[in-house]
Amino acid sequence: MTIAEHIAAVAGGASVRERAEAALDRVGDDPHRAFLSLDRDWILADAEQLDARLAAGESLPLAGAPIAIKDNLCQRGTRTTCGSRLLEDWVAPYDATVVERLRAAGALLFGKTNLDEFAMGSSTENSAFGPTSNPRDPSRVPGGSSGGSAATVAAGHVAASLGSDTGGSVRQPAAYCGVHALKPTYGRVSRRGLVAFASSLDQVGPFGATVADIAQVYDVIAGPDAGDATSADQPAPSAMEVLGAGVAGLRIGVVRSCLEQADAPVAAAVEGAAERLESAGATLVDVGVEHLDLALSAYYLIAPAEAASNLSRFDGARYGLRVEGRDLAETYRATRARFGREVIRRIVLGTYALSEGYADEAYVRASRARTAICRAFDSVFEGVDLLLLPTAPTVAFALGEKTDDPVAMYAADVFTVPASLAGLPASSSPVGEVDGLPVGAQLIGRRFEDTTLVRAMEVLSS
Amino acid sequence: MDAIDDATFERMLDLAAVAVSDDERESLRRDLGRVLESITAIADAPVDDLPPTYGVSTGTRTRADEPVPSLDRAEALAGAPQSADDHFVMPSAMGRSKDS
Repeated sequence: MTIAEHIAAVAGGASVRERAEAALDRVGDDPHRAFLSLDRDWILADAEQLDARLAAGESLPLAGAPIAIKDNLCQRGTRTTCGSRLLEDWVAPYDATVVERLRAAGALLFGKTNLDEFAMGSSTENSAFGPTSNPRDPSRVPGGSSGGSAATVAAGHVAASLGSDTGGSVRQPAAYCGVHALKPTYGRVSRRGLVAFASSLDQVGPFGATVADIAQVYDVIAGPDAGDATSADQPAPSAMEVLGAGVAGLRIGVVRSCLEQADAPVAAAVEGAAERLESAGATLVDVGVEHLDLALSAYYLIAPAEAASNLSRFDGARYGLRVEGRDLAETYRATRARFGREVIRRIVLGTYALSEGYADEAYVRASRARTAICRAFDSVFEGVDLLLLPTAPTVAFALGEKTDDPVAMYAADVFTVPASLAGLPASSSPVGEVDGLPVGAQLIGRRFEDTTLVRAMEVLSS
Repeated sequence: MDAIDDATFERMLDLAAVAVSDDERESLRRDLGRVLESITAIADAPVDDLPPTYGVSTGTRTRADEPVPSLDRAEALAGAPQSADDHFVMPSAMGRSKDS
């Protein structure tokens, strides 16, 4: 059921409450552990309020459509755990801007979804509350870190959800679960109320069962916000308005080096996607993007460095859990020992990258490499409108397969981190299957040309 | 990227302010070594002459430097493990305080 179908059903006399009940029934006992919070009574009470607002004649563009929220986005009055023991019982005192905007547009906020702790991971196995499984094959990971948000859409519980993408955390799970997702341009969507992981990279983005679902949610959440100093001060063009525009006349660069790096069946599915775009009127050209080989290394120094700084706020003073020690220093250490293994790994790695004697060769050097990657994208976008490449090198891997090998786990992000480093809009679209598992094709666009991606995503979905 | 030696590893744990058990210590150190080995590409990258990029924000604008409504103090304190007299409360920085 898409958002458009939901709106039509409500316009035809269905109540938001009865549709909320149906969605809750679809989740059942949540066999994929997509949710960390899903309070039936609260949701039904909110649904009744939405029915009352509609009955009073209020214009609500989303008409009570249920939309799930990743549990690192603040939703006033609900637990916002970030998948961490440190925030297990912490209740958000305010709404993230994206949540505020969804409420105002009449969305039914439908639970908080599971994630890798503080969004650090590529499989949702780093959640302190247990992993999410992939609805397409429950023995496989859903990807991460927004695995719960991808899984709930893939399972058909809801038409749309919100995730956050720091190095691929909406695109890679979308690919693994076979749904659509969009990481907007950095600065296009407010980060206020998103619990920070790596502030120069974090961006909120929607998952959708269809491209129209993505467009509808994007139009609600995108645009300037004075509450986020990195929010771009320019209106966001409507994604809904470009639906149907097609790709005729667009030049799309196929990033050949990435196709060669991917598993052959994944590359073949992405080649098929390229042919579909060409059939719809796009011009394909093979392109190379310089310095992509530096992206994963740069990312895994910059993101942990920012994480080490951001997560210093979890010290047992202001939020959630405190483990008492004999003095202040021991309280800090004992409290922060409750972070999961991956979070500790990244904090220590980031501390190393920023520390005296190492920062020049680690964090600063990685930031110079980031410049090289940004310039390489600027150069290639002089000749093409979009880039096409796989979202991930493989289909979804087995639960437990990579949990003891961080290097193998990080490699799942190899095709998604470049766009993150450059702040470019990027998407994932389901374009085929390998042994019954979905393959995602990634599109990357010029800064602030998010709607061009939506045009191509729609062609890939047809 | 060099592997982390004993002294550096201990210093990083201290700076990061995380307690790690003896069992976890070895696996953490091994993992960090593997990660640093895997990202050696950065050491040889031809980027010496490039300026670093610390952020990619464009088209931003600062707001006027004027007070605006913000989070209510009581609500901010409600999520803290301990508070008193409109403040967060923490153990003494110099050891146990008299009233702890």
